[in-house]
Amino acid sequence: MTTDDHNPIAQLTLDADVAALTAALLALDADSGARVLLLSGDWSSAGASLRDGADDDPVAALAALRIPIVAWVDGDCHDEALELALAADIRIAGESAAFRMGHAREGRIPSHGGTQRLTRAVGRGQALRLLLTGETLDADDALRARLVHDVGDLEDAEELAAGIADAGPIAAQYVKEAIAASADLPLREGMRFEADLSILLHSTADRAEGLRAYAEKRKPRFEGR
Amino acid sequence: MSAFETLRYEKRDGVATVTLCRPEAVNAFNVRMRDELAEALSAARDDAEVRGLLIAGDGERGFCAGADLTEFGTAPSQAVARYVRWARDLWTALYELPKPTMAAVHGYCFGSGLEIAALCDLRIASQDAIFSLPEASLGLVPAAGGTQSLPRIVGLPRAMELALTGRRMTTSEAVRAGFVDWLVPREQLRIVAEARLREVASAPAGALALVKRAVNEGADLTLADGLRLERRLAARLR
Repeated sequence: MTTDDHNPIAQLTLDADVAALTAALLALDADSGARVLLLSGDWSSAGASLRDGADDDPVAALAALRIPIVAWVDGDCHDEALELALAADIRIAGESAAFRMGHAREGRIPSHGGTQRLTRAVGRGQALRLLLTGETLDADDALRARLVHDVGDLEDAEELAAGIADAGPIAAQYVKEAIAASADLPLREGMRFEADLSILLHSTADRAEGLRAYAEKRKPRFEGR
Repeated sequence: MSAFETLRYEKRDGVATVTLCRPEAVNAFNVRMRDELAEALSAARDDAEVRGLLIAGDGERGFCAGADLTEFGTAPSQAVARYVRWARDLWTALYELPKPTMAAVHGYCFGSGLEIAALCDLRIASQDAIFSLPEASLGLVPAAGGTQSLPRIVGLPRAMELALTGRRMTTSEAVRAGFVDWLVPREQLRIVAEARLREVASAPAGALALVKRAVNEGADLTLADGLRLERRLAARLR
């Protein structure tokens, strides 16, 4: 599990070590260099460790990140692994992805936000169906249910992350924050929040650079300040 | 009644049409247009003859290419900018207009153009329409409600992806995502849009206003409160 300080795309590859994952996520939130997180790897092993009751809470650490998060999910993404994936902003499924929320079939219920984030992602009807039946969705089913945003390979997810990394980094964080807030705020309050963030951006050098670059018809050089 | 400089306001058989009209700048939204759109919205709201509002763009190139960036940075201070934003809250006025609203989109529908369309109740587009929220790629954030209105229509992930990358969305994707309700050939856009909106607006005006309110306000409430709101509004029509 490594991140490169100079790469605006932080890449984390999942394995069974969720303590290391949590530590990496906490470090990432403190790091001003990364503009987007791409999360991929072995969802099944990470989910199994999480289920075995690790003290660390990578799901909370992931959900608290200020930068946008792209998750590329392939292979089995069941139960705790799916709860982890649901804390990402944009999910891309690989061809052999399989999604399942089977806690209740085993006499448990999700405890890392599964009942809340799944319902917000796919709607009440689909969420209850998945939670009660424990049925498995393949990549295309997941796309139809809006559990994932797209189906593609890791390169597609990398391309998406690169597109996000090109945006003004503070603007991107504010866009993420405002859109995430839209799920919890009445429209009027959400619009106030958006307007305040927009005006707060007036104080950044990146906004001036973006407008200057637009006028000069060149690519902006954002510095995150 | 059109004494406007940046838009045309026309009434025909119950439908008022606002045509954004700065074709030399692909109808880029500027301060003048903001003030005139606010006036046009009040006129449409207060005129009992107007049963529905259509918003369209003039010229060949598109509906609206976004905010006029040449005016950015002209506000004297952040405190003044914040005051001005709420002195005329035309985005809420558009969203809450108690009559059906429709955007008829062709060509470029970028930035505030997309946000205007997203605040309307219905969206019809011609096949050449192309949608984008380029703000973040310029170091800005959408500021006409886009971060709030778009996720309510297409869901959070797609709204995030579009707003974070500035990627262009085609009409076929926009239809699949539920953003565009109807797709028509370019030469029929205005005619079909007006006819369809007139048909929508032919239902009793009171019921249309209340069902719009129940849906919009209900979306922000708990289900129990939403059901109470609906019962209260329904009682007004008995």
